[in-house]
Amino acid sequence: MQTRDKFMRLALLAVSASLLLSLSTLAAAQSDAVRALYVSAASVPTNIPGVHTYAEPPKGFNPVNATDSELAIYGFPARPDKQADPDRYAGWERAMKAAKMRWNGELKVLSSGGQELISSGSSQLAETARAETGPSELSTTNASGVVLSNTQTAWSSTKSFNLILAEFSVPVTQFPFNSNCSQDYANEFTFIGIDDSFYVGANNAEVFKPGMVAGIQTAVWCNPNQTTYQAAFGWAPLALLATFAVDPGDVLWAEVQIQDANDGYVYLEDLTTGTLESYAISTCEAGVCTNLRGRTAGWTVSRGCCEGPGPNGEWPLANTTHIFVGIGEAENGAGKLFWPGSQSPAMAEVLYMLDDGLDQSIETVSQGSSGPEGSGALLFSTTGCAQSGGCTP
Amino acid sequence: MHAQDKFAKLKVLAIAGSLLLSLTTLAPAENDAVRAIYASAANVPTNIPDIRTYAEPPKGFNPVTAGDVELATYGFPPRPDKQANPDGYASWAQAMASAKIRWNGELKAVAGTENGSAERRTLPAFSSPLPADTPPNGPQYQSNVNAAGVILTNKLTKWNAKVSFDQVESIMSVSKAQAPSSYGSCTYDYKEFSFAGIDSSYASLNSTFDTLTPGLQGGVYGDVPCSGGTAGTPFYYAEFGWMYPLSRGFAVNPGDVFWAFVQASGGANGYVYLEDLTTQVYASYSISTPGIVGHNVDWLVFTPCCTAASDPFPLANTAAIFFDEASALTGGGGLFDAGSQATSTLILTMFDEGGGGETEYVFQGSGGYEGKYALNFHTTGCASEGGCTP
Repeated sequence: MQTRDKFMRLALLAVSASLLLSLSTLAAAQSDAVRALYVSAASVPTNIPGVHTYAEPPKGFNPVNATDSELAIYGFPARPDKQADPDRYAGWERAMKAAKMRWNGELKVLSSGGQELISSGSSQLAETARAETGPSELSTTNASGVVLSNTQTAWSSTKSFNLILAEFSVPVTQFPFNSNCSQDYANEFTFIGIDDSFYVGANNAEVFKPGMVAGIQTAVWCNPNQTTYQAAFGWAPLALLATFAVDPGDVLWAEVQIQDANDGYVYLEDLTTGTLESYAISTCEAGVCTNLRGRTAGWTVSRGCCEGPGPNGEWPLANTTHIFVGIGEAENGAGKLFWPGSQSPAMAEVLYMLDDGLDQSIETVSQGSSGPEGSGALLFSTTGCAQSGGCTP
Repeated sequence: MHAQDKFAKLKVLAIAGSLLLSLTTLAPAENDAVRAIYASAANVPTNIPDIRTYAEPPKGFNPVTAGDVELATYGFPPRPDKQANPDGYASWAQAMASAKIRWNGELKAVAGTENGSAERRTLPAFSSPLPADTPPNGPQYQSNVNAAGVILTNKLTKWNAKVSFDQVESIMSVSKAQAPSSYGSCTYDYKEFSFAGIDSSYASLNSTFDTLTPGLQGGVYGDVPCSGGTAGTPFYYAEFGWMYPLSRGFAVNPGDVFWAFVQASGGANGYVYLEDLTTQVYASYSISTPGIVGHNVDWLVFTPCCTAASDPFPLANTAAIFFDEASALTGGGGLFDAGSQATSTLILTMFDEGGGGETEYVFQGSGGYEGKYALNFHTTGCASEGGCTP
């Protein structure tokens, strides 16, 4: 009797294990199928080649209750696992409830005065001496923030970073205090991105190069006096693109997802106004593809290049006093979670932005380490000549 | 009036000078004496009884390089110890370098009713719908009908120069305030007050609910006026006070970054410094604070009392409000932060008193700079969408 029980238990365990295996295989296949939908369903062309958007959902569509396939078909971000990551689920649910107005305007290439085609310097990850404990520090001419990296040299469906998200404050943007219009123009990007990289620019300084990014671009002009605030996204070799306008005091939520080596997805939502839009981006143009690797995930504040007065064409950095970033998170294909508060010496780099003369910090970042805010929050601070006086080119 | 001002300035200088002479060696004594200046030097009356402000500093005055007595004399916050608290010093130095435009406008007493110190109850003595979330160790989770945030508590029942919390500060985002989406029609203004404070307490709202009553506090107030059932254009101000009523200072704008510094300068006097780091406008005040104990410090998003029905005003929808550099001190120099994981720390979630669930909650951290000093508040539920039933 006891032996029979044992046998039955073993049989039950075997059946359960096989069911579990086939269920998890099914779940993985389902997940892959849904990911593919984010590419195939983006069939509405935009005015930019390689960038597509999604069909309008039917009236009364509620993303909170929608199926995973419906979310993909209408370009809403995938639903996080409520059990495995309740905080992220809460953030997603809150954003989905606030999503009211889909923006369908024409995309604008941020150019001349707002730059944003990226310099064609040879791209490489910064080769810094790694700290023995905690993140390494790296000064760049154009970016501050936290960048996590792995060792991928090619896209991997399990090991590559395939998702990054955060919410940002939209700050008032202005020229440095007491600069009296010594600059005609200044700008600032607050981005999350996958496959950000670095190259060595003028004066042997590290220059940050955004990858597939989403966030906010703000800019200020002296004459005539004007300030713009826009949700923006892009894939560096293609362009950075401006979408809908946002206002100081708003809160923007952004998510970037990579489906495969040549397809990405961005979602931008102003949580204050309920305005949103999402896009699928192909990294292939005219049959030539630049492969994504999913090698880095970064939360950065940067200044644009490459037609400005800086040594690498950088534009002056706008003064935003402080920018607040919350609920930052990234994920790889195997579902492993990462945060901007990472203290991993092998993965995390903390960037500080220097002025053109490379002699003072102009944007710094504060990172945490544990607890929800310690893991997911960053505080950016404009300092030095970008905060007061203006930086001399 | 001019002569009176001149006399007042001379008097301040005389007091400061004599204090300066006696403040050469003993640090604790120096600390106490300088603190006393924050009360004595505030001899410029305002239009609100018990609130005074400070003389204008001389032209070219630089608070970053000024002496401690000068800072107190002209109402600038004390300089943190650069060695013991380098982060606090860096934040202070940035704020002082940005303080360019002193605001001297007329204060306006706003909103709220005085609940009376006799009714004030020490935290925590409150039934909470969140007991299941309360871990055996670490912060205690509590619900509230008009406040969300983090409160650090001690067990004091009267002012203690060494152990009482006597300083709290934070920078905070000025987030756009609005009515909940799809709110239908409004009855009252939607309000929100983000502040750093000392000695908040509970008061009975009615037989069912308690509300939080602010103590000594300074922060940013957002108001979405309701007129004819429709929500109008929001406005934003620096506000501060000792319990109710609050006092309204200068206007701020969405997207600005605001710094509030609050200090109890002894058992009966408080000091509040408010600065918009984006516009460089600042003001500071000394306030009479009878009954202050220093038994808690808090970083809260709050909606003030009271509507005609004696309820807190409906909460404005701000999507998210970010606090950072949120720290506190005791009189003995003990440094505390908003990421405290002590069991004496309370994490408050705001609930709709009409049963509409959570309306504002806070993310706290624990380790690293952001873990210790950053908070992120989210508006949710009926305060975000639909509106809460009065």
